[in-house]
Formats: sequence, structure tokens, C-alpha cells
Amino acid sequence: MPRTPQTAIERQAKASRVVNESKTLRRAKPTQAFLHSRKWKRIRNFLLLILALELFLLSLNFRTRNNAFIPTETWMNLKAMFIIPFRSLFDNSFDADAVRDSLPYYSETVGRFKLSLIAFLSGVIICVGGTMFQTIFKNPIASPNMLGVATGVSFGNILFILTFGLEAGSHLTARYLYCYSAATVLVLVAFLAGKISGKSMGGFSVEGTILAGMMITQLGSVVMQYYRMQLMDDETGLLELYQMLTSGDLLYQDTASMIIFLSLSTICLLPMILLGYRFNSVAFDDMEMKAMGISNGRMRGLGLIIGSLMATIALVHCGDVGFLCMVIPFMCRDRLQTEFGEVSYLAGMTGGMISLASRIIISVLNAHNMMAPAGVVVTLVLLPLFILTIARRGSVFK
Amino acid sequence: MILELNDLCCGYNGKAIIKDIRVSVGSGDVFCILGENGVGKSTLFKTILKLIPPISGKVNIDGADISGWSAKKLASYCAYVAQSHTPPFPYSVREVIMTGRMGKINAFGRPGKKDEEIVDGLIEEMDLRDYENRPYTELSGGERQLVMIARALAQEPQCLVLDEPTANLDYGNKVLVLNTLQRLANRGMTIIFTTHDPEQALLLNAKTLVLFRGRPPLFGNANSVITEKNLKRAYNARIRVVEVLDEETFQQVRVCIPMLGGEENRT
Repeated sequence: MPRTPQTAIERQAKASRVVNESKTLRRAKPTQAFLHSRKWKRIRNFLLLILALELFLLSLNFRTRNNAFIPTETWMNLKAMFIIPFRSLFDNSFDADAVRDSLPYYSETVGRFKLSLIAFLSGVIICVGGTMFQTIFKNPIASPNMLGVATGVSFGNILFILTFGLEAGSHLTARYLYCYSAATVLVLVAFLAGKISGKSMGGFSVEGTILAGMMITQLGSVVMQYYRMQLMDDETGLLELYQMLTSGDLLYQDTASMIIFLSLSTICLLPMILLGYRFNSVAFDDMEMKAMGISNGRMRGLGLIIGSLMATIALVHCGDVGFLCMVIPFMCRDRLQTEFGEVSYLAGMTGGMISLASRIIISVLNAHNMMAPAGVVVTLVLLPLFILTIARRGSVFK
Repeated sequence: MILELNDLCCGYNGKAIIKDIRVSVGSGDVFCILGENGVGKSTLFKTILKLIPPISGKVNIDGADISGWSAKKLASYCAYVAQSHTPPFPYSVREVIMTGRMGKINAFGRPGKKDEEIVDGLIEEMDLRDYENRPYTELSGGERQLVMIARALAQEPQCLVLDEPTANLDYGNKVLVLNTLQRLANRGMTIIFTTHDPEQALLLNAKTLVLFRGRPPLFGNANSVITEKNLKRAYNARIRVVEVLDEETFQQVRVCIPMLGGEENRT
């Protein structure tokens, strides 16, 4: 129990302490208010964008053993990359190949640009998808993989290899068809299970959907384990091909892959940007929201579809980086912001940067003849951060 | 605004839980619903809020049958405050109140200047300025209830529907919430709430509907409806209704005291 001041000096000291404390409080208040103001959020978001851009540029110029780029060369190459298609369209006498050949490391720069774009965008979409799922399931550690998306993609890869064998490398477009179709089918099965189990309650059962997703994942892992064991005896190299496709060691940069990746990413990100604020409604009780004139059912359905598609895109084009979508939104919610639009921006940008940083690490390792799957690098980068957040977690789980 | 429940019969899957509700409340009225657990108070709320359809009868607002109204139109008249609320994420108090504006904001939009001003006004009115940026999950029960009322008011409704707004609150917080409801009613807002404390209806001089199990409901002024006999019927327990003098206002106040023992009591 605090002792009552006895002497005049003690009383004066206490009074001074009280004054100082109240001054601190008065000083602290405006700072707190500023940190929650729109102005600060705009500044923070802009700084994050600049940081992401810088990391992107760094990834284009990053020196590995084999190719040491110079920023001016990279700049010239990037400029040419955007200008050449336009000039080719409008100027018949323009010799695009000659220009490309005249630029040192042109094809390498373009390759790195595409690779960095895939890595960054994959990180963005999987984290935004993770934020969506955590909001829908009202659970800070939910992830889009819960509904069997990862299993679907793996099934797609298996079917693809079984169909095309060693010639699979020359039928990449078919791989996307197989992977997206398999993921869609498994997610639909999970949704159907949710619908059937929720029928008695007159709606959709989230628990039923999650249980179905878990069962699909479990069954899938058994089937894939069996398939891998079968491939162990195969000496034609199918196992290596399967591992290459699923680990994300190769990021396909051909025109078809880029078009599919960019189109689907845009389709997913657009509603997230446009409906960013409205998606907050799914974090609250359905009855409360209905009394406000808002239908949560539609928003939840849209969110589940987009979130599942986002996870599928990232898995198909960038490999198994699923840990990102659980950890990053969790950390952003815990430490920075709760509102859906803000969290998805912060989580997206942070996820993009971590994915890009992991890709840089992989490039360095590859340059030193060391192989590391994307998922392993991402997990190694994130695990300490996740443990730290869990250890310091505040009110997220309340 | 005039809310009328005309021969309302509510329930689920065609099975009536409560029947023959005839009630009319206007602007500035406080309407209290009393009854034991499971008697149908929440069912009546859900019917008023159009969350479940009535089995028979009508709910009219300003003379119009609300059965054809959209959820959005009804939300501009009535706002709902749930009994307990725990959001899964630590939204700040300001963000929670702002969600009350969601129905007014375009699906593709974000809160604008007008929405910010309305929320600012409510934060001032509810004296929540000190908590504005604090996570809602860290507030006490009474503070949370004020935030929920502020969120409902952000809808700019004419009627506030509250499901047991003082459940699980201590005396200080109960008084805080009841004072707020009284202030809102004095401003012309219709307040509809359920409670397990009949004296709250007496304190707020509410129009009171007492729901009984297996008997027709009673509707009238709190002072006429809340009697020892009716409370005994409603709760199947011996409850004394006594008058005490409020020494600050020198007014007689009626309070209810449940009595232990006696053969009439269930246990």
C-alpha cells in the first residue's frame, strides 16, 4: 500500500510527480489520437508502399554469384520492356529483336521482373485471402487452406503428371486447368458438406464446412503420401517433376502463365479493394447485421469463394507458401489494426514483401547451388515472428 | 413514430409461442417486456425486427405493415442492441460505433465526413471520448453496453430495441445504462427492452407487457401491471412490491423484492 507523504518535502515531491504524470498523460493523448487518425494511416500506408517498391527494385538488382546487375542497366531494360511492345504495335520499321539484343542482361531482367512480380503478388493475395478467412470464421488463426485448397492443388498436380508423364513440362496450360479444377471441386465438396449439415438449422454450417475441409485435407495427404511412395521406385524422374511443381522451385514466366496469374489476381483483388469496408460486417453477428439492413450471407459466400481462389492462385503459381496467410494477418491484427480494409492492405503488403524477400533468399541459395523450397524459406522467416507475436499476444484471442 | 403490434402471434415453424399481443407505443415511450426465461421475449423481438415472420397478426410502423419492408428500410426505423456481444477481433470503440453506419454507407464505399461527424457526436454524447481508441474487448460490461447503444444510435433510428440491456451488469453500470435509456426516451426516441428486473420498468415508468406461460399477456402502465399477483403468475415466485422514499427527489419509488422460502416458491 502506498505510504502517505509525511513531510512538506514529500508532499511537494508527490505533487510534482502528479503534475508530471498528468503532463505525460496530456502529451500521450494527442499522440495516441494521431496514431489512430486517418492522416497517420495514410502516411503509414504510403510508407509501406514505398518500402515494397524499394524491395521490388532491390530484388531486380540483387547480386547473386552468376549475374551482377547494375541499376542503370536494369532501368534501361525495364524501360525497354514496357516500350518495345508499344513501338512494335505502331511502328512497322521498328526492330524489337535488335533493341533487345543491344541491351545487356535484357532477358534476365525481364525474367527477374516477372519472378519478383509473381512472388510479390502471391504474397499479397494469399495474405488478403487469409485476412478474409479469419474474418469470416471469426478466428484469428483460420486459413484458406482449411477447406482443402492445398490438397486440391496437389491432386491437380498428380493428375497432370499421371496424364502427361515426362512431357508435362510442355503442357503448362493444362496444369493450371487440372490444379484449378481439382481445387474448385474439393472446395465445393466442403461447401456442400456445410450446406447439408446446416440444413437442419435452416442455413449454412461453418463447422460442417471446416470439418469437411479437414477430412479432405487428411484424406488428400494419405493419397499423396501413397503416390509419392509409388514414385520412389520410378527412375524416369517423375518424382523430381512432382516435387518441382509443388515446392515452387520453378515460377513459370511464360506468357500464358503470366496472363492466367495476373488476370485471376486482378479478379480476386478488385472486390477486396471495392468492398473492403463492407467485409467488416462478417466479423459481427448475423442477427445484428440483419437488423442494420445488411445481409452477411452474401458477403460470406463471396469472401469464401474469393479467399479460396486467392489461396489456389498463390499455391499454383508460387508453391506452398500457406504459412504466410495465417501468420501475417494475425500479426497485423494483433499489433496494428483491426478494421478489415486496413488489415487486408497491411497484411497484403507485408505478405508481398516477405514473399519477395524469401524469393531473394532462394535466389542467393540457388546461386550457391543450394536448393530450398519456397515454403521452407517462408516458414523459417516467419516462425520467429509468429512465436514472438503469440508470446506477446494481447487481446486478439479474447 | 408509432409501433403497433396487432393481434400478433409469434413462434417458429408455425408453432405459436406467444399469442394475442396487442400493443401500441409512440415516440418517447419506454416499452418493457417482462416474463420468465423461455416465455418468448426474444421471439417477440425477432418478430418486431422482421428476423422471423409472424404466424399471424401484423407489426405496423406509422400505420404501415412492415412485412413488405426491406431490411434496410426497417433499419432506418429500428435499431437493435443484442444482449451480449463479444467481437472476435479487438476493434476499437470508434470502429465498433462506425459499424452502425454500415447500412447507410454504399456497399463499395467507406465512412465519409458525415459518418465521422455522427460517430464523433455519439462518442461525446455517451461520454466515451476517453475510450475512443481503446479495443472494445478491453472495456467493462457497462462501457460495452454504452458502445453498443451508441452503435445502434449511429443508425439514426427512431426506435431502439434492446435485449436485456442490463444483464450481467453491476448496480453502477445498470444505473448508467438506465439513465441513458431515460435520456433517449426524453429526447423522443421509442425504447423497447426486455429485462428480468421488473423495477426497471417501474423506474422508467414504462408501458409494460407481461408474458405468462399458458395465459394471455398483460399490457399496461408499469404501475398498474406490475403487482405482486402478476409477478407471482409470471415468475412462479413470491415477489413483494414495496414503496420506498427517494430521499433526494422526495418521490415514492416502487421496488420489487423476491422473497425466499414459502410454499408458493418453486424450490
